Amino acid sequence: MTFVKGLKCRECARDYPKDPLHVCEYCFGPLEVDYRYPQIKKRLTRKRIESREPTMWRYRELLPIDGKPTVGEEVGFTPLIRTKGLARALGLKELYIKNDAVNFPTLSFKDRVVAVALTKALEFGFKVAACASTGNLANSVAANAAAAGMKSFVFIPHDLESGKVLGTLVFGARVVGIRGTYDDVNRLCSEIAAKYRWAFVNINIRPYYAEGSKTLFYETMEQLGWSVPDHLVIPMASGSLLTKAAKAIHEFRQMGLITRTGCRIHGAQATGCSPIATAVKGGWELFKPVRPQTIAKSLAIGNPADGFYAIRAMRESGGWAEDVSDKEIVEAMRLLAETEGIFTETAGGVTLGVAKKLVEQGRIGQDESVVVCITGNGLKTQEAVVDHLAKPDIIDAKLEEFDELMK
Amino acid sequence: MKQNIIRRKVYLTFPGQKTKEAIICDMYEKCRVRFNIRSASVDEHVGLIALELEGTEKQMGKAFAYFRKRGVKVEPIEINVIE
Repeated sequence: MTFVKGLKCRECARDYPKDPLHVCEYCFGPLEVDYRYPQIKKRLTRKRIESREPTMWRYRELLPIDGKPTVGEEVGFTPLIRTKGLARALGLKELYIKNDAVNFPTLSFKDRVVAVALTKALEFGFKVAACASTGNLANSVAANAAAAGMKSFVFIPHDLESGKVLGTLVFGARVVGIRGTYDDVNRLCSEIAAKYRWAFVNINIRPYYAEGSKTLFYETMEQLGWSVPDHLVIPMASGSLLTKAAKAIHEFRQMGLITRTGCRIHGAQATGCSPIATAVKGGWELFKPVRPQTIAKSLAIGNPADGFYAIRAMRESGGWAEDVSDKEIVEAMRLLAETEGIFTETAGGVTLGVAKKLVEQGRIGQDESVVVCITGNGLKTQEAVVDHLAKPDIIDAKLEEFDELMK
Repeated sequence: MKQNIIRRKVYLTFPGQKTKEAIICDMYEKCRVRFNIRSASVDEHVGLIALELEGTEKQMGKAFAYFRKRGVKVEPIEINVIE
């Protein structure tokens, strides 16, 4: 049974059918999935959810699919870890890490959105999946498409490092490097999406794709004992993930699955690409697009599609946004690794670095509960830390040489 | 030979100091690409205008180049799609 009514424009509230559409014909506003909430409320109880498999699909009534999940059936339900060493280091009593660095199958939160996008794409009858990406999204589309028996096309800037391309090529994806600036690549991909009948996950399937992000927060609330933390700290690239945090909390409240609200949602960006954080700190309604220059490549979106809505979501929740330098990003990655044994990618360094800053600013109180969302794995961005770590000690195979080291 | 008329939907981003200039009007005078403003939001820091354009491929190319020359960013309505 489906609980999806159709699509609705986020700007003018005009209704659209449940089709592969993403932009309002009238005002160009983004389209969003519209659910039959009263029916969902009758069906979705804590008990029913708890009886299901520990994957993101245990909340399937709140996801935009009509049938059963057919792609990424094992995705989600990643650990929520109550930290000890890290909490001590930040001077907090209750600090959690939601660890999507171990998400299945490609070690980032993108597996959630891609699982929904490709399940929906198959429902629509698409045979080919596509995306424009420089990293995590490419890996996830290629892997999940392969497992689903779909062909995949991945578009990248032509000069992307070979290491990043490998994790996509291995799944048999057709990878196309495009010469030109990032703006040129963006423009061409939009044109390709308009011309070819493919499931371009973050273009024509975007309304469905983006809904997958909500599961990160549904899980967090369930793992906290059906509650919200006082603070959520979330990385921002397009800003979509943050807007879906607000939506997930609102929906759980509406469904009666949580009673407490009042969670402040904070956004994190790298200083070298901080259009949304700059707008929040400046009190602006709109953000000014920037040219990204940061080691946090997975967050390097200079003109974020959901930036405006992310600003609004933070403001409405009483949250804030901050940004951290490349140096602070690496320090935070090391801090997380050394205190909790979690190796995150640069985006995780951004999120933890910002959480630390918010504590220092007094925006997060020492007695308040905090969840920091770690969305990707450090094994994918090793170059960011390689020059900041100690080198191994090399010795001959003699005990006295080892004894010497121990002195 | 009659050339095909195409339609494009784009977002124009104006840096704050450019919002006082009649750049869209100037584009029409130079390139004769018909335009329809679908939404607009402008403050002192930045202006964002959703525009539908109608003209030949050649005129369209000229119009985009003209906007860029005047310091206005032209992007597809999806904005940044590389994630």
